[in-house]
Amino acid sequence: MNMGVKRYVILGNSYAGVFAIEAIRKRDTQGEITVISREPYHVYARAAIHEYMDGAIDEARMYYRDKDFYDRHRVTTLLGSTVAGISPRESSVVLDSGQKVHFDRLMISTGGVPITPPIHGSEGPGMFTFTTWDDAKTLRDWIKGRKGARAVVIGGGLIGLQCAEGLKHMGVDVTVVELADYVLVKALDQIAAQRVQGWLEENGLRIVTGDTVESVLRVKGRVTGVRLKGGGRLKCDTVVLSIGVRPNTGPVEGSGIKVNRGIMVDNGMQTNIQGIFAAGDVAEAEDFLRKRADVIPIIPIATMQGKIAGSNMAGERRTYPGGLPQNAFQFFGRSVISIGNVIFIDKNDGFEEIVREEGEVYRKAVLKDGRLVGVLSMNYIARMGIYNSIIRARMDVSGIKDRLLSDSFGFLDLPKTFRDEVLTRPG
Amino acid sequence: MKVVYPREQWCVACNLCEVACMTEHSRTKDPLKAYLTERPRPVSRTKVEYRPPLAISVMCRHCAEAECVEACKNGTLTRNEETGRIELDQDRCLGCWMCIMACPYGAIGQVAMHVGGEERRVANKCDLCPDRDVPACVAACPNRALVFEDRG
Repeated sequence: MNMGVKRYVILGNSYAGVFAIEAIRKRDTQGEITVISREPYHVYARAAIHEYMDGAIDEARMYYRDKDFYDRHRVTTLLGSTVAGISPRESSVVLDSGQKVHFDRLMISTGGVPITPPIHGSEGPGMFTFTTWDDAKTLRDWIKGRKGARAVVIGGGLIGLQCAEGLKHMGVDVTVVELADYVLVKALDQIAAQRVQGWLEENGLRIVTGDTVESVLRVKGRVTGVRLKGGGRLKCDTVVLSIGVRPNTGPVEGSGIKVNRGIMVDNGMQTNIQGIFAAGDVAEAEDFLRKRADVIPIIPIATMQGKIAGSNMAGERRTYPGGLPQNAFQFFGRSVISIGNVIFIDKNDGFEEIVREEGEVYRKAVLKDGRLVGVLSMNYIARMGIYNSIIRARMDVSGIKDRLLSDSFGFLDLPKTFRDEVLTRPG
Repeated sequence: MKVVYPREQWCVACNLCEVACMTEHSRTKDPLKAYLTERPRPVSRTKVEYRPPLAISVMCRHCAEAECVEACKNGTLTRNEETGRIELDQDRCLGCWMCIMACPYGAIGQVAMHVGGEERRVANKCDLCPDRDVPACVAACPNRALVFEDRG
């Protein structure tokens, strides 16, 4: 080993990995960085695969960083390589090929994998999952090869609905089957979710709620439909399984790295083993609002964790401020943004809701003991990030409740001390 | 690096910064023509808030660790390592609005863009007027309520 030159190894090639690489290179221009990913692609926009599938965006807009990103940052890539195991004792990662890659600092950012419960008849052609670029290409090619395709999407979460919209744009007859009483249960309240459901139905999607697929029906191996638990049947030739994603902790099995739901990390993004870090959808780190560890699989958290892990791997001591759940998404041209806690509201526990409904616009703020903890907005999303800073500041907004959700809400509604602090310092 | 800072005690909500910004980012560089004839119509990248007697103009801070860059789905928003500026490549933008959700200044807006025959909505924010020494909004402000400064 070349003394003094640190070897950094990053497992996974997505949002967290890119920010870790950029953070490492800010502080360490000499170290060797290796990225290992089972996917063969240059780093791409995983969150846009539904738009790639239906042709809304081309390949060029799918790449997350320039083609020369790895060269400029002097990164060695081992793409298309699967990790067989990690040995903390030997400080090495073993690949399926038998190749060993040694590290001084390791970051595990292997993302999530689709949850695939055993469903009778699910083995065989016509079944798909939808989390990778290859998934989107495979499904697109399958649909292009058949006329009058009919698809059942199992799961009305964000991935399932985005896939369903993509399929609809491709001319497919789509039914979404969701076990809960309404779609997007983890992201939205019931009113907002039912509005989204309305947008989808207006555009020709069918949504079945409160039911799930019991078995996939096949004739001579070909999918002909699904049977629902409630007794109904739906005819189809294509089934997409999108009931959820779980942290991809397979690569750390047997390594001694502690896993709860995801890989457990401290507030420096380090696992229980010194020198080994985790970030992104595989990591279980502090939730800013609930002050306990959780997996929050969203881009801004993956990138922030990657940045902090990378900085600390390169010798800094940065602290993760905790992740704030948030998401922005659109269906058929209409927008939703939600930040913080907009769902778990116990009015006996100091929670208060402020709601504004006006035609297509639905906005809601959630206060806990007077402090803003969540905000949701549909069809009016201008300057939503300001609420992000208010929640982060744990600001008491009980005095400005009447202004909080107005269209012209802004810095002038906030205390002068806050405004001066935020607007007169470098960003 | 130098960015634009508002000085709210001097702002009188004359909105000339917004006019100058819209004009600078128009094809004709003429405020009336830009507003009346250009389609899609150019949009100001600074936002004047007005609550009499208070007023302030707010735009992108080009943050050292920009939350818009951290939230962007496909690398449309990046930091230029040489200039430090946060750059937005509208041709790449997916219109996912993750940046609008993330920006703590509320400084990212939307603008229409024609691509081929279709209209697409993309993100829009201050680029510090790369063709000018002093950004158009700062030059247009009659009261020095906007300043172009390096505050470290």
